[in-house]
Amino acid sequence: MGGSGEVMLSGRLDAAQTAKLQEFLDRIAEPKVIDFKDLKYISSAGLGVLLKTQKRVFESSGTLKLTNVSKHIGDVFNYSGLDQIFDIELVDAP
Amino acid sequence: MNDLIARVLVGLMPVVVFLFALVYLDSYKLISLRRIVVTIVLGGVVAGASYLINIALMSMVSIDQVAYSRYLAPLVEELGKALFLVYMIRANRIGFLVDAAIYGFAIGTGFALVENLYYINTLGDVPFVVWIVRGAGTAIMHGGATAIFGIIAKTLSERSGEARFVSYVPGFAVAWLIHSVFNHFFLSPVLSTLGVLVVLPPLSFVVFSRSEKSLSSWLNMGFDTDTELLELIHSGELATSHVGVYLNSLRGRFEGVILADLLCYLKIRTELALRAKGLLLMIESGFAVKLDEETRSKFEELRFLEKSIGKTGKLALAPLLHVSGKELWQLYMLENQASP
Repeated sequence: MGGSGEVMLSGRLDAAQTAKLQEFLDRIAEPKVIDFKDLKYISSAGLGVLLKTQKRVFESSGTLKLTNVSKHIGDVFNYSGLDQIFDIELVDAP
Repeated sequence: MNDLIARVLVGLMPVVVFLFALVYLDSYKLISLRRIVVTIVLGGVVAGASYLINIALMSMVSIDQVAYSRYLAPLVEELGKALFLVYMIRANRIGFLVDAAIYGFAIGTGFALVENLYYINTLGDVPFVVWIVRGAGTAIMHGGATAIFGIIAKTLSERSGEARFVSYVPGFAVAWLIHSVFNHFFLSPVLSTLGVLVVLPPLSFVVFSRSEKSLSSWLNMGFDTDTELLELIHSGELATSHVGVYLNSLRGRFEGVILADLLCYLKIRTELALRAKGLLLMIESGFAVKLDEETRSKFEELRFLEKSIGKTGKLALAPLLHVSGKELWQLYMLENQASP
């Protein structure tokens, strides 16, 4: 967790890591921000965890913001259409 | 009047309820209600055609009616229902086992509804148990046999990598056997009906579990592969990559404009493949999905590029693109979702 309550992700979010992340996110009542600054890679399994969390947050009228998203990972969200679901802030955004 | 209503309800409802239970159990729900209804109607048409063929065949072959109903009628009827699924599999309209099961059960449902309506109309005063057997036994057997054909045919065509004729034979033999055994009423009609009701629900559960596992594993692998290819195309280092080297090797065989279209085709197809997988991820997580204008226009562009590069161009790109049934199905699925 970061100082402002944001969830900090780092390294690779692949199938091997998703159960751990899901368990962690499930323990937070209403996660608001997930920081992608140190995230190098995300697979569909990782996106699935984020989608499930976003669904839960939506149900309590909130939304999940993804910050410091690299261009490459931003492209993954864009081309898969998941950018419609999340509020995404790219790392080089002004 | 009450008796007629009871006959109609018992004769027609169980198979419809079973079909919609299957649709409800499907987590992805990729087959629209409209398609299910159209398939049911087609099943009814197959029932009408089978009736005429059965009458014609019975007058041509010297076989008694009991033997005909045990051996030849199942052959004609299962063949009619199976042809629809063969078309669907060959045209890459079916992505997963669960879709094959639902389409199969739906065509069987249409068949059974028309058949039972015919019997309600023509059979006189018969014991009520007949309608129980026809509604919960024969009708569900019709749906189940074709669903099993679809499941086996889809599995074997996936395993062989292409939908060859031989992929359909084992499934057809099993469907025919189920139908024929049911029509024998070895124990009693009521016990045969109970047999159908005991076997089909757990079988459906196994198919649904296997299908969802298969979808999940294909989704994970394919998503990563598409992402890597797209990243490569956008990286500016395409020329030195294996993809670039391969495209370069095609220079002598295609004009410059066509070569450019080949690259555009590769890019748009990969983008659409990734979009389709994103759509499945969203559906899996329970999001209602609306596709944007951009996706629709990409399909228009894809069609244009397909014409431009022709069959030779698509063949040339085959080593770079995944052309398995599921990969082609996902584009069909996405295009359907994108249709206004």
